Amino acid sequence: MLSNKSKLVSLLALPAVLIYGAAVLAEEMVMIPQGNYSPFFLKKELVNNSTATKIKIDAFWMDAAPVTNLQFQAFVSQHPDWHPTNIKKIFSDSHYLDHWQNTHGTANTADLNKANLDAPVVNVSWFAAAAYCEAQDKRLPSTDEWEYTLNDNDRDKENLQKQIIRWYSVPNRAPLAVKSQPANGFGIFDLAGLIWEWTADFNSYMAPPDSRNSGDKTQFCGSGSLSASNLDDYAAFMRYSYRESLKGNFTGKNLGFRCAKDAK
Amino acid sequence: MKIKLKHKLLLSFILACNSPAFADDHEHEHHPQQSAASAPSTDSIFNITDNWTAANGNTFQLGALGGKPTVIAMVYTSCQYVCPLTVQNIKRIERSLGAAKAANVNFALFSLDPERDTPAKLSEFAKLHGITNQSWTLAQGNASSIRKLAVTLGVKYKKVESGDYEHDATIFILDKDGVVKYQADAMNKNMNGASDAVKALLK
Amino acid sequence: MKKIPLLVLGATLCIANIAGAATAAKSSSDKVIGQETAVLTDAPAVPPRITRKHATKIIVNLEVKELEGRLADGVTYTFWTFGGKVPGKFIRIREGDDVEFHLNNHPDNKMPHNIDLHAVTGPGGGAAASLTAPGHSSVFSFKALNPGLYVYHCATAPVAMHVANGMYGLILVEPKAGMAKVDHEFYVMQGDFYTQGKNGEQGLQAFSMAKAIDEKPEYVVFNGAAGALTGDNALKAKKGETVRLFVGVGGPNLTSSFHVIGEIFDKVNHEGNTASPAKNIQTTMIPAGGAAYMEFKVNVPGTYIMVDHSLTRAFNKGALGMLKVSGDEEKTIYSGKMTDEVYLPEGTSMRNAERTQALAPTARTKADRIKLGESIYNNNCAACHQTTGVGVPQAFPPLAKSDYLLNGKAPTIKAVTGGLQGKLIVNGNEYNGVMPAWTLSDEEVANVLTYIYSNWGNNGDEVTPEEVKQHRVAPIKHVE
Repeated sequence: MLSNKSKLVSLLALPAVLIYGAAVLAEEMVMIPQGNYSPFFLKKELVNNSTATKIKIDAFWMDAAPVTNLQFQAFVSQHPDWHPTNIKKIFSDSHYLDHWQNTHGTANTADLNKANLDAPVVNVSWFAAAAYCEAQDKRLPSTDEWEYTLNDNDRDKENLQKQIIRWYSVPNRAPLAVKSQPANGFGIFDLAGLIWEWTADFNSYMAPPDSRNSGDKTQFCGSGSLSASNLDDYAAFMRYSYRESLKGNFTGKNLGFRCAKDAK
Repeated sequence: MKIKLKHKLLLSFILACNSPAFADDHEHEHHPQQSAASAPSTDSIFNITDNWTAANGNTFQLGALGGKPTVIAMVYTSCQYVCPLTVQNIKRIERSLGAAKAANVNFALFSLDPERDTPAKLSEFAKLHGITNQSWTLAQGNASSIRKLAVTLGVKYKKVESGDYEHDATIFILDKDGVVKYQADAMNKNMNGASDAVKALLK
Repeated sequence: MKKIPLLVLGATLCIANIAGAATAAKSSSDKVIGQETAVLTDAPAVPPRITRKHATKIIVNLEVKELEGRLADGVTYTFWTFGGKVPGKFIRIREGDDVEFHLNNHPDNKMPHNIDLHAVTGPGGGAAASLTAPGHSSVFSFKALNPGLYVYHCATAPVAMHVANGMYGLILVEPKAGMAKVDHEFYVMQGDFYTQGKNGEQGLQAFSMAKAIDEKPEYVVFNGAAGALTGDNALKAKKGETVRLFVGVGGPNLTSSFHVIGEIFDKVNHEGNTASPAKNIQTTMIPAGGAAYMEFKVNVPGTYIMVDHSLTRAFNKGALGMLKVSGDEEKTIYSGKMTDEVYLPEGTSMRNAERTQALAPTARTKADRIKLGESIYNNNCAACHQTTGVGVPQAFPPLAKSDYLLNGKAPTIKAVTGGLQGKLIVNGNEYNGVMPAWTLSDEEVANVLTYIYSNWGNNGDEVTPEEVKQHRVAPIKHVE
């Protein structure tokens, strides 16, 4: 349906779009060095065994900040499949991108309130988040990678816990712009106190939804039940419970994401 | 028609070289490589376009299961207890349908274990369990395809240090358009509900 | 011939009886008929009594809302609520009902939540089926198999925190036979709150997991806040009415010793059981995660205080509510204070009179002494010797123109400071009584004696404090 003339115009426009796209889409990434960390949920037998509790995390790249409305908008304008009017029910529930005013035609940056552009994008499902990361040749971080980055090598454990709990205790408000708070020791912003975040394997927490059961051995492939490594870390309980309540096509008013990338 | 195809190829080429693609006001969808007529319905799992490799080495997408109802589960061959039980239960459903009806149903097992469950391994597993007829599909995919399918179906799983997987045990019944219509606990010996669901879809 | 009609009559009656029994059995069957949406209420209100005689399908819509609210004066807290308030909505259904439960998690909430209803027979009491992310809804069904008053609460990890933040309420499953009508039904639920700041510290208080684990609450309250049931928010009834209290304990940790000061519970259905109430109970123990209901008639007007009888919880942490009963006094049951008298302990007639006056100022002249002495005399001596000094015949000797006083100052000083007893002849009359020793200072004795000497025809001597000091004696021992 495109005429030869349009084809030419498109070819000329392509570099301009590429440059614009690159500038908008470029998300600063930080190399997270390899390390060991204690995952929150361990096999029961390992809970009191101090040497076996740590797992190795390979070095990887992590987005310095969550993906913003501006960045996600650029993605949607280039991938109409992920526009609110086109989104499939299997990939997202009906609140997808609720907070964007323009819900038909192309997503125009002029439509979003300027103040919101630098806020983390929310109301996105796991599928949308995964598609965004794939489009950047990236991926979502694994839960272990994400928790390891949050843990920040126990750099400022007490204050971090306080910040996390403070955010959990306060009912929802529209999120502020990313990078409003200082970065942690790894140079990563907003892992606590801004939004919940999707991870690649959010559906890997194996305890049953009624969290009082310690896990039925026959329910899963024999590897058995898990126990919390630190019963005092009730903030971690809340994060794992939150992830457990999610399905891939869910969106949330305070649920966003960031991307990661293999080191090699 | 020819012009259209040329442009499609051009677009594909551009897409392959660069991530961003220019928006076109006239088009609302990028059509996937398959030349299938209608796009899958909005809640069909056929919307996932990842490639899978069957036990016989052929590659396919989920949409290939379309046209018939499908009994589907996610398992892996090194699994000791839950997975053999799951396979037994799917066979129970197959038997309950009778040979004539069963021929109009797909039985599909998708492996959670991409490293160890090669097509050869899957063939071996099929022989071991006597599930070699045309209706059965055993598939291997890459890690991200597996995660995507699991998230779509609602299957929880996690790889553990030993290389094994902890996972839910659920059998899903899809209609011919790839929409999940019924779920059964794979650990339960009673598959009547699942069987009835399939029969209803064959009417 | 006559026998046949009788036989027929008998047979008819018999058949009628059997038929009647059959229909009676049918009418109390468990068949689920119809559908309705449950009426839910905020404490202290209770939904109306169930009058239908059959089971039905009940739809319950319960929304979880996280919000900031008042915990005490000037103190706020982020509550997680079932229905917008602590405790959560009261749910009232009937034994045999099929419940379709919709748990809705408001999109503005941060946390996932679920629900465990103690009335449910099934895994987790419903918790397994109802874990719900913010902005989403879970639906599950259960049949109310057992009658009783049951607690429900959130069971998402960490459970103690969800419950400590107020996620609890009551569900009443009425027995098939229904419940008797009373004039008032009220809903009360006790909970313990653990704040970072101490009790009374102003402003928004955060939850303290450490205090929760140690079971050291800063607040123990009824219905989610200190003062939720006091003053203008007090429960109200009229004299002569019957009251039924549905009382639950959400916890998370403490058991309640529930008592209404000034009332006896005519009936207590312990642990929420509907079958066998206990009678005439003063204080009933309600465990954490448990409930009880009690009935009593209010016979006397006044304010009745509801407490957890672990008293510092009531008076220092807020576990205190009020039931105000209006109406006329009922003196036959309770009279209130009738008199207020001085209590004089029983004892010896010989006694040391208490000082009845504060230390008087020092006299500088004889005239001063007389003046000061007058009030001392009137407050102490006049009771027996009279203000005119004439005494009482055969009881108390006179001081007026008394020959006893002519013996010199020493004996009078001794009499006042040490007391007198035994036979005595004054002005020709015999007396045999007891005069107590007086606890008066030297100054006071000097003043009162000067007053006596200068009145009623006595010799006008002045007595000085030095003289009193010189002649004063210790109180003599009383001899029976």
